[in-house]
Amino acid sequence: MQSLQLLLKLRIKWFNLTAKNFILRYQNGLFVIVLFLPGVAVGDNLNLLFKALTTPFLNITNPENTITSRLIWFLVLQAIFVVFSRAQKTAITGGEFTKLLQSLPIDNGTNNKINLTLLLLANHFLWMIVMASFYYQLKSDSDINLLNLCSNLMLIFILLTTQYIAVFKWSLMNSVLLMLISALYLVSASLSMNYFGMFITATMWFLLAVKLSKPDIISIKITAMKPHITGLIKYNLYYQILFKATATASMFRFLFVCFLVIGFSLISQHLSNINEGNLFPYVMGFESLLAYYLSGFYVSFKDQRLRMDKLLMSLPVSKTFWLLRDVFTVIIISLVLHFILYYLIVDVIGLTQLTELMIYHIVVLTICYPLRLLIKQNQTLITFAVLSTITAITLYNYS
Amino acid sequence: MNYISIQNLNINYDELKVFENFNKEFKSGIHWIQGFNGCGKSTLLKSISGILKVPDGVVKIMGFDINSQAIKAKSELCYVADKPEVFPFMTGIQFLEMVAKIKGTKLTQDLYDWLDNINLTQFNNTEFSQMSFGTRRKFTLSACLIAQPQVILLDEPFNGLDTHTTMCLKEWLIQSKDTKCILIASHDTHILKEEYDSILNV
Repeated sequence: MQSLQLLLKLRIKWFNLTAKNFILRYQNGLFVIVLFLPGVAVGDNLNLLFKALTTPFLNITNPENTITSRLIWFLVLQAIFVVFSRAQKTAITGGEFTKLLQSLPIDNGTNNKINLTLLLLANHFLWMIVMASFYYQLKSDSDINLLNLCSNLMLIFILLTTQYIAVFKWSLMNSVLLMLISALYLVSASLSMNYFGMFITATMWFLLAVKLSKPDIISIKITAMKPHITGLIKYNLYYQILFKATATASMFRFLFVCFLVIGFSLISQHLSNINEGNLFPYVMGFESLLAYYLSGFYVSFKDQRLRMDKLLMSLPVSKTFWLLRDVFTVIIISLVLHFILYYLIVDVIGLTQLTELMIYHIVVLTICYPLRLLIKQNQTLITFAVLSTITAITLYNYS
Repeated sequence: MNYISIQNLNINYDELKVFENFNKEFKSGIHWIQGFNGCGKSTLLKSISGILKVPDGVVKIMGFDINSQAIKAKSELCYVADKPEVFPFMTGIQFLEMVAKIKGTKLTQDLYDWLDNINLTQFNNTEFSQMSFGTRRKFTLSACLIAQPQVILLDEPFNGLDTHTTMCLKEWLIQSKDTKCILIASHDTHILKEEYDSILNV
């Protein structure tokens, strides 16, 4: 019992330390969330936005929805829970520091209790959303029955089990187990199910789990198919960094980009219905922020290259060789992202403004890069300034 | 008496076979494990200590199976990793007290004397994040003196140690070799010269 308390105390202390570092590292990313608020949630919309967070939970538990729809929402919620716990894996498990603990005589019961406590603790944000879902459920349902309660508890149990497996027992076999758990839930939820839909979504989930558990599988496949492409990846330092990223980091990058694109699209659509004339400041603000983050990607790649600077400088290539690769990489990353963004807004702003926007983007990126290099990681001020400007414009428009 | 017994150990990393039907028994003494980088020296120590789950085969410590009788087996061993990874907010003495508490014992005067001997007492209340690599290493090595383990597993134990500590460690290893089974994975065979009892080429 004494060692349980001691270990729990240590693991919680480690969790707090890691969580604090995580927030400091991604504070600018977290600021982007605030970007939604001025555009989407003012007055009554705030309530709607909060309710929107509970959508997956409410849709799964709503018996009026079709089984396919419930399955899709279930997979979405499961994916959120898995990504949320995987992102905090080092904080929950104790990371490298628990290797030594593993060689000490600690029984499995103690370990499991600590692991479960940490998992519950790490989910505090999601529990708030789940509790909010219960609140909306209670508000909408006049007759809350035992079946509803059991269904909710079972859903939470499955989500927790999924997280536990994703954090502590992640392997190919467990991906199969995830599928079986999902299937079990569906069987219990309804007897009339769409087998084909279930099969397709379950297979997709399974393939995704396999891919994520073995990120190198993609490079292996490329090697088998086109050896010259792998050669290109292998010898280009930046792409090597990109391809060598962990599954969690890749998921985060992907989510971050999706988040930016969705946010951009939402703001564009929302504002175009209200006041087309005022769209441009938002686009400009968003572009500035995006350009700023992009230059951050560029700086971090360059930082990683500079760590190997002495070695690279000893190679028989000129400085221009690396400079060209620096520029090429940022252009490629930037072009893909901006192609998506321009595609989303072309109907809203028209071609003339689009051309102006592209010129503006080039100018902003040119300014952002030296600015970012100059202030290094002290980015909060810039982000805060951009967000404040956007908020001010929004509040002015609404008033 | 066999302190460590390994039967039909198989360990693979994807396509690479690290150990295939590996059998070995270790009695008391100093046993040197050597081989080229990446040949599986650390993997073997991790498998014996229970850090790496043995997927195929049986590993016994003092007759206790490391998988099915993990608590009893781990009570008899002390593993020191090549990197001294300890929670950064822990102080040196907190770390040693933690190991003692988990092993159901208390820190002895012998341990305090040892800490004094290798100039660690001054770092007792320093956090691991503030320590140098060598100091962190000394604390993790000092954990071997807690609860008198019968099996000592040391991964590159001499890395980062000053000359005085290396000599103290060498002396302690030689003194203990009659009553303990000590496995050392290292390239520095010259440090113990002819004092080891066997060499295992992995």
